[in-house]
Amino acid sequence: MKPKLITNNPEVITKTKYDGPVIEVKGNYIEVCLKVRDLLHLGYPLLTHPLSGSVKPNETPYKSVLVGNTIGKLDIEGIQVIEETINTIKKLGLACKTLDEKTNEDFKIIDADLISHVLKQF
Amino acid sequence: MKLELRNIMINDIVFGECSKIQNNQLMINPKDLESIVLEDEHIAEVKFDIAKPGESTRITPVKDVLEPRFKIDSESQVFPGVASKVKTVGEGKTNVLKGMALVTSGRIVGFQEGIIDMSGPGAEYTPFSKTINLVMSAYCHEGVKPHEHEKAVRLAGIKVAKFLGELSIDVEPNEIQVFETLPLLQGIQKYPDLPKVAYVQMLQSQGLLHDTYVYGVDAKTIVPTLLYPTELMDGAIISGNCVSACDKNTTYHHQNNCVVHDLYEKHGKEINFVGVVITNENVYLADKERSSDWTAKLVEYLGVDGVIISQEGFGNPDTDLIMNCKKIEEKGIDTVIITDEYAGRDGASQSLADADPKANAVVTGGNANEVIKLPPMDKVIGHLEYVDKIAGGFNGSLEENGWITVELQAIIGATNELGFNHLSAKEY
Repeated sequence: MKPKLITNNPEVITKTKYDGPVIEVKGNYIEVCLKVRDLLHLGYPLLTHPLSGSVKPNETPYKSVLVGNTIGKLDIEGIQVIEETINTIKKLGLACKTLDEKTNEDFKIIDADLISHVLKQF
Repeated sequence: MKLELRNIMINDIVFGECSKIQNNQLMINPKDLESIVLEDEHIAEVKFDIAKPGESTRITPVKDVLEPRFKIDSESQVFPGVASKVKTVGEGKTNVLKGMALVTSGRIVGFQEGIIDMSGPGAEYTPFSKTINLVMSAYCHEGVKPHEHEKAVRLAGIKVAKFLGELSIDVEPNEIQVFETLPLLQGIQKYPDLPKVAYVQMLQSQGLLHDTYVYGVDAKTIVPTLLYPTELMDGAIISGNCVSACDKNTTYHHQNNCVVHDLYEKHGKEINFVGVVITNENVYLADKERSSDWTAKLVEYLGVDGVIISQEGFGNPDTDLIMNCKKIEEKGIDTVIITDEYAGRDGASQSLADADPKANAVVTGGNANEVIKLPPMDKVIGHLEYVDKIAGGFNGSLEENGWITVELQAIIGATNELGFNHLSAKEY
């Protein structure tokens, strides 16, 4: 079973052509992480790092995270990573810049590229 | 492997009728460089400027910084697998144009970043305010995608740096430095009583604008491997990393890796520096497990007593850093990690996104969230409007009177995690 892709980036599907299950979050970076945390507590394992990229949570509005599609033993390390990520986002704050269209588009491209290198392995 | 670095001091750069090095002056005919850059069909226009220390000049957005070098006596050449054929480097004689840097600039994405101020308070935070800089600003055709754009500007920088290095082919050096690392068993026998130390260098490898290349190979596709330290000096590693100006390693940082230089300084006296292990920083957690397992396995196999680990970037790589540190410590090998901090503007928050009690020896390059005000400069090379969008900039950071308020993360090399700067913290 292909992993679940949790994303708030509307372009990630068209850019990566991923045909596995997708959970679209209509919200910000932290809401993506909260959805990922919910899944981890149900027993799904974390597959990609939610702080991927040097573009910080207070700069980019977009994030895509991959979670395994099989429930198993609780992924304690993954839960620690997502909690640390949520703490880091709270520390840095969310992206609040008024983005022009080009910059907004570029943030989507970067997020899609970072996750694409993992998606093509499935 | 033995490498002779032949430093040719560049005391001045001027534009002129031809390109040559004479009496420690680099003369450049911009047309020579333009023709090299415009070989790439993606690039529409290129401009060259000179920026000198102490001038009221700001360069932004900076993509990469390179030091021109050229090998004068071997079949191999600098930047192997990229600007030269794939042949092992790190041996022989290499000319170095010391005191200057090639700075590449150009808009790739809308939040492009990186400031070098040649004077004023910002100049104190970047090593490239002390070099005489030849600045290449490249502009691609409309519609060129970010992937193609990044690659075109990266390769243009490498080709120009190689061309400049080649101008030194018949020039006598002002200074010669020799670095040598013996094959492992011979090296261990030579200094049997000294503690054996390896260097683990972590390379940014997450994707677009976050990549590094080793002999031309994308670092996200490698498994950890061994290099002689001198290979780094010959451009075995080049940067495709354009984000997080303060703590990315430019190609110049790779060529002049200060951890390598400092370990050589103590080699044969206090320690036995046996070599470099390079590893990556991928997004996929399984890659992190594999790479940190292999890194720990390799340093155990080398039989070292201690390891220095340097990080590149922030957030996701914090996890790689801690995994490397923990797994190496669990092998009974002492580690020292080099990182930087995102501790909030007041410096009071937790510095890293990951931690472990085994990471008990830490060197920091400083707090990237620290805020600094930069005065206006008489001359701007590049595009100031991006300052509002760069990492560490924020809306309103460019004031009407020309002052800029930014976090240190906007300044190239400000909190470099090789320690290639002056910022740090001490605890006794």
